[in-house]
Amino acid sequence: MSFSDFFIKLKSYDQNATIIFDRDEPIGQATDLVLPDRRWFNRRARRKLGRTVEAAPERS
Amino acid sequence: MNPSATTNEEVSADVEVTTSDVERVERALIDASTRLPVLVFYTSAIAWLLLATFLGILTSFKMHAPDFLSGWAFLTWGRIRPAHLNALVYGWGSMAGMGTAIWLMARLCRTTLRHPLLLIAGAAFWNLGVLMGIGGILAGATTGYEWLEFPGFSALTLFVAYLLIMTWTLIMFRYRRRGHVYITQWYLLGAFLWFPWLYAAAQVMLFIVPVQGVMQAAVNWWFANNLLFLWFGSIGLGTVYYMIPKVIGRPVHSYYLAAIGFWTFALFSSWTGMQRLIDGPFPAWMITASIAAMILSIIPVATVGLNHHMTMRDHFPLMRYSPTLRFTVFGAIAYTAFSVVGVIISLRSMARIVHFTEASMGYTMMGLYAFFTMVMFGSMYYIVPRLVGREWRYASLIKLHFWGSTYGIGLMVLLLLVGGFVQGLSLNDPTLSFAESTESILPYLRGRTLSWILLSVSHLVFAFHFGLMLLGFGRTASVPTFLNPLESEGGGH
Repeated sequence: MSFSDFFIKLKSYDQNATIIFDRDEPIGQATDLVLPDRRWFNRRARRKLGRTVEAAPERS
Repeated sequence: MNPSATTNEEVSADVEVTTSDVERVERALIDASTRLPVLVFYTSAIAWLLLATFLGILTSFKMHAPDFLSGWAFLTWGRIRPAHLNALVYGWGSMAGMGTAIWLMARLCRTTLRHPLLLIAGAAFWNLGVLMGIGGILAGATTGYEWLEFPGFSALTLFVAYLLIMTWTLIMFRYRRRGHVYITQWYLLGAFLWFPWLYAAAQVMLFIVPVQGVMQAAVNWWFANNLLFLWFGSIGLGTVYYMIPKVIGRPVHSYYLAAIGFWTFALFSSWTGMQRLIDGPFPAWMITASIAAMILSIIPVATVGLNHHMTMRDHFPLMRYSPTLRFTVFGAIAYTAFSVVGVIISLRSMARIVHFTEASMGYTMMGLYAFFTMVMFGSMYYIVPRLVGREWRYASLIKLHFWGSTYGIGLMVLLLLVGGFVQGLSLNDPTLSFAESTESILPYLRGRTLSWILLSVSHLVFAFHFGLMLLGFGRTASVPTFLNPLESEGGGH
């Protein structure tokens, strides 16, 4: 293996870090967020954030 | 509108949907193939955890109330302590770790598990080995070597069971459908190859062709330390490398750092162990080499810790919503703390104080529980719903489990480390009698019993919740409802 091949291979290593993602669970999509928000604590912070209840994608 | 362009778009959309469907079906098939063996491993692990917890409370209680249940030989401290530790190490830790490793390996190799009954047979043999081992210890047939107390017939059963399980994992890896090998697979493969080396070497050198004199202690501590580092450490770190990126939806910060972390971990960890024998009758170079390896192990710890931290950066608020992330991040942080404490108590000046004290147990529990067990809990919260097709029933029970475990282990480690230091100072004080020096640690030992009670509550809650999942009482909603914090908390990309 030449040095250039070696460096090309080295640069491609970071692609390996994406191996655990796919179309159903892509990069940028959090999974497993199943705990509801605390009911009584941080109410002010929650109001500020103004989050909306949304459905998560199906577990897969 | 160009009709041909429209056709192409439609075709590409069709292809996308099809690929996605194929991936979904593929995952479902993999999960279905691992369902039974992984659940068998998890169920057994939790059963052993409950037994280990019960024995842990008894062991802890007897430390400050030695007359409690002392009428029965099998309940004396000298028997229930090794029974407790071996139930924790081989019953709970190893079975939970192997269950998680099998699922992760199948998912990462993208291969369905063929002939899962053979793995179930492996689990059954492993259970039999642990059962015979603990029974043997309680009956008084202990070997007396730390973490190797199981009698010979039990060790042999364990080894056969392990070969069955390891072979199946290696076969999965051999027939993987992806060329790339992910970081988690490095650690899992490492763990599955290191364990037989450690276990076989220790068995041969201690029981089959025993080395002479004090070298037995050297072999014993090399084994015990490396079981913690190379077996539990590898499975734990491999799991963290999967769970954190997967849950937050972000790739690992740096593959290069991960590679440096893995190879330095492999290089330095196997040299450790002798630091537990500081000032013992051993060649000075042996102990010094282990101390140096412990100090150098800061390199993998720092790289792994940095990698995890950078991956998690800006995503810490997600811990509020994901049980997996909570437990896993707690475990990852505990790994750093465990390693730092390990270095500190390995230094000769510190070891002279904390050697032979409860601090040693505090350090072990940091690795075995605060790091490994918490990571395993996290992985179970992720994997079990995918296996049984239902969601965890009660969020409140998950929180109770988390906080019970966190406060329990936090209190225990703090008390044992501080108590061990106080005990060491008292032991080194020539003006105090031995009885007085032992009394100095009594308040800490009572506190440890309290911490075990907290852990018991948390384990019972978890076992109950897991039982509900097994019996089909989990939430049937196919889509878990949650408060999506991605947009507002910068969790997305």
